[in-house]
Amino acid sequence: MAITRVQTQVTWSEASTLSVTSATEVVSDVITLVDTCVALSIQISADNAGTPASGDTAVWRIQWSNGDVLANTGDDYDTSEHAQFLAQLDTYATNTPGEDPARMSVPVTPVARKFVIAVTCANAATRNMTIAARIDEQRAA
Amino acid sequence: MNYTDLKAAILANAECQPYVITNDMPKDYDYAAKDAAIAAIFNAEAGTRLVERFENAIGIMSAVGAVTGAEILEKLDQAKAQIPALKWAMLAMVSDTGINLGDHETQQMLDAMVTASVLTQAEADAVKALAIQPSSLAYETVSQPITAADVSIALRNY
Repeated sequence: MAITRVQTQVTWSEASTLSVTSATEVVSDVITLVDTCVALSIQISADNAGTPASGDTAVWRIQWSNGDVLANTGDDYDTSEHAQFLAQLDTYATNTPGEDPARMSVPVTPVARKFVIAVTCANAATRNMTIAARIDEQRAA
Repeated sequence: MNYTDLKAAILANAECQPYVITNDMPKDYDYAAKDAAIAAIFNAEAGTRLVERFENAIGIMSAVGAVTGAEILEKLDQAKAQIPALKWAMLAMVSDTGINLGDHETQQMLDAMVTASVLTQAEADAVKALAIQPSSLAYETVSQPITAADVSIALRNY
């Protein structure tokens, strides 16, 4: 069995980055994994548009979907607070960890076929945060 | 912590001005060092402050020395009949809780004992010093030391 790797940019309304301008959670476009995906990692990035202050964080979660769990219409994704926590990126350098910009890769078990990425930036209304993410799939051929 | 007060104190401090970064300024990548510089200015020792410190007779003897402490207490005990405030203070002095040496009233009473020739200046100062600690701009402003993170929050979130 051969393994191939495929990288895909996570998009936000089809844009490869998003400038978050409020503390309200933002959600990516839907990512659909191929059936042969056996392993997954996500690289996440946060870049503070202003001079950071303590508390300038981006909290990343992954909201999986197994389809129409409510059996009504459309796919149902994990709810915000119960979604799988990925990481918190802290852009204030005196904190540890803390750096601006901040990037990290997170290994993720591909437990379902579809997901979206949800991000909350607590102080983005005061200092906008530019976020981006890219997934790396390992596919069995 | 009162960040509004802290921000006002930072902005009013001339020594801090080279290090101030607010949201209306361009992004400054040296912010961590500058926030830390302001914190250092505010945490530097400056002057003294009174702190709450309860001591009873045994505590004072332990703190200033048994012989000296006993001499001070003896003098106060002999003078208490003529000074009502001292009579009640000495009652507290023999309780388990003791008396707050950091209370302004206590400090003033010790000064008054010198004026009344009950204690020497050195004796009064020795007891008063038990409740005096180094102060700083941070203590004067927000009653505690501050960190660079506190500076960042004060300057850029308030």
